[in-house]
Amino acid sequence: MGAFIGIDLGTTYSLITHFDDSGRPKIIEDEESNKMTPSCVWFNENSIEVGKEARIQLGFPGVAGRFKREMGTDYIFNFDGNQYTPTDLSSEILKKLYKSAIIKIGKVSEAVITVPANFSSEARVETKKAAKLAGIETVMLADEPTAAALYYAFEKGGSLNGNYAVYDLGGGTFDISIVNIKEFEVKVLSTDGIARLGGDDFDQILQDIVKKKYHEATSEELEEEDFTKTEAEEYKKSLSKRDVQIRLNKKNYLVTKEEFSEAISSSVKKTERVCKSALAESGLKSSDLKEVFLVGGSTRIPSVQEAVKNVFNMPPTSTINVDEAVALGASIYASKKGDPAKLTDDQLDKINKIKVQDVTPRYFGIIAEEYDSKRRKKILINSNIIPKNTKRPCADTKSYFTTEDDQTGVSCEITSSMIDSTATEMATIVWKGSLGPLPKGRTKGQQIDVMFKFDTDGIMFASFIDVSTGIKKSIKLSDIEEN
Amino acid sequence: MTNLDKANELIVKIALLIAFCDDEFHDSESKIIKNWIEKKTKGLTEQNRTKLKNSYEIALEKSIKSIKSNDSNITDLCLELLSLGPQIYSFDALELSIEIMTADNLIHPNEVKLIYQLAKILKISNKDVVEIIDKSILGMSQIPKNIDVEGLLKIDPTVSNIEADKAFQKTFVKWNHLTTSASTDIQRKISQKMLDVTSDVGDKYT
Repeated sequence: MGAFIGIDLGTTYSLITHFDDSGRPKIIEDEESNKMTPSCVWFNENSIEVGKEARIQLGFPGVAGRFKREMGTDYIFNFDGNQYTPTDLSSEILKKLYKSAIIKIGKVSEAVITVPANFSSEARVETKKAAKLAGIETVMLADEPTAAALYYAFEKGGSLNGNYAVYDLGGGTFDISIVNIKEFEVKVLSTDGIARLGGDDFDQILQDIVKKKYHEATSEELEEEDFTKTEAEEYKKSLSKRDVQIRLNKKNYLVTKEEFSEAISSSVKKTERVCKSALAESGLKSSDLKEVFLVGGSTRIPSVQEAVKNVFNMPPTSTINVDEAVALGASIYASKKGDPAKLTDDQLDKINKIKVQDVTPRYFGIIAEEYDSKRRKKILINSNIIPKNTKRPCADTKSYFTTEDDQTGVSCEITSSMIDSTATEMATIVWKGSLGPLPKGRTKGQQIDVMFKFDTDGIMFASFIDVSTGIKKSIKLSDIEEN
Repeated sequence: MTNLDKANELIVKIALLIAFCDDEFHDSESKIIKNWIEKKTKGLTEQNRTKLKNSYEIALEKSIKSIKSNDSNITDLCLELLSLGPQIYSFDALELSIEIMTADNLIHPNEVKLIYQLAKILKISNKDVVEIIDKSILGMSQIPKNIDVEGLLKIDPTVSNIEADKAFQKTFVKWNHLTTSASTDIQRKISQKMLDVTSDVGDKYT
């Protein structure tokens, strides 16, 4: 029988799970028996340490952490004269997790890696590349809050019925999803997030508080290695419960819960704004929600829970382990999307009840030329074809027209964006190609139809068709988008 | 002199008024105006090109003097531009002025105020102004400093907290999304800065 794994490739910690033969999602511990593997890589002379040992060294030369935030960017890490991309570093984490899975469960049939809802197209592509570098052959991506919602629906045994919010504040990113759950059926209504906001920022804020106090007391600067981010993270956990005394150079520095809450309030308020936006996009009001589920380690912070209460007018629910929900949901997702022939009877019994209705994570469109009557000139615009949050499967076709006589080719550029804007600066080009050669001698105004289609798995198909000749360019965008 | 040449001279004068808003004429601002003149004279014969460039540069010098002696008035310049006809002149004036506003990586309250004043006289909608400003901000070469977000959102003391919060919410959502979907890395960093500033300043209206 096949093995279905889910991976939460997190900013600060990563987890791997599998859907066991009895149809239960379970955590797979890493080789050091940790359920949560720190997302840290240490280039230690001729060896590479990944996980707990590397985390202890974080802040010292040769150690990389928090690189998930740089996925899809040009950022390069330099260690001992060698250059590493965030993709290279992520693949080291995935290698370690995958190895643990193979030791525990053998050959893997299907793997799902979760990504933040607001992850850029480039970051999604790079995550898939990292998986390939790590030797994971069949991999799909799923949005983190969708995976968490799936786990909540599963764990509640079909007792949920209504609209829910999933508030996911992890180590590096914030996500919110508004979902409708009916027993085991999860429909995503809207999803949103903040790409750079999470526990890592709170650790930095605590470091800054301590640095300031130290400077006030000693008139000296506190060095990074005297109070590392890893140490800040540990104190931050205590600050969720009580005031802390931080001992530095034989002297104590008091940081109160209130002081810390005040310092992070600006960041927490950002999550409130995104929640309001996601709620508005779903077409619901907070009174339409039955519960708000918490996911991610940073939701243990009391002021975060208070913010959730403020924005949704109800106290949040955190009955499950907030650190594990995404990873556990990911293995359920992998089983649902995988080959049913590879499932045991018990797995099939559980999986058949589950349904996931996802939405398109962004707007998808093309770059088109338009005559701007105000400016009296031709300009390039982003013309959206499929709106954000459209239920999958979906399809739409828009017609465009050639703009020059004797035009023998059409430039085709597919865009993805988070906002409904015609400005090209607001969109990312995710694929570039051309349609042609087209017949010579035709006048301008030849109709070009552009058809976009998303299937249930989130695979996007695009076709550019010259209507009068039937000349067509078709693309499957599975390599640039999430699945 | 054609209407187009007259319009271009007026556009340069208007842009200069924006540049002098913070009492200084930065090199970056001067460079933008010179590049704009270059662009406008491109494609002409060498003789015409030199003639026009000279006339714009004379206009530039004269304007600097009249601005310094408080002898330049934005309303008069805009009304004269409007009298020349096509709306394209108005858009050209606004686009160049906004480019000047963002040239020094600062978005100064006086500049923002004057931009909106300019748009009002030139009969350009707020929606168009915001679009041009956003494009210009995203086109900056560095992450901006000192951004007058309240000015950009036209928040004045008469606006209620609810209305102000709505404006901040809309802008917050836009910049947040651009942190991941803007075209380039620098644009995403600029969007992050705009997001942070919008969030921090907007907090007082929640």
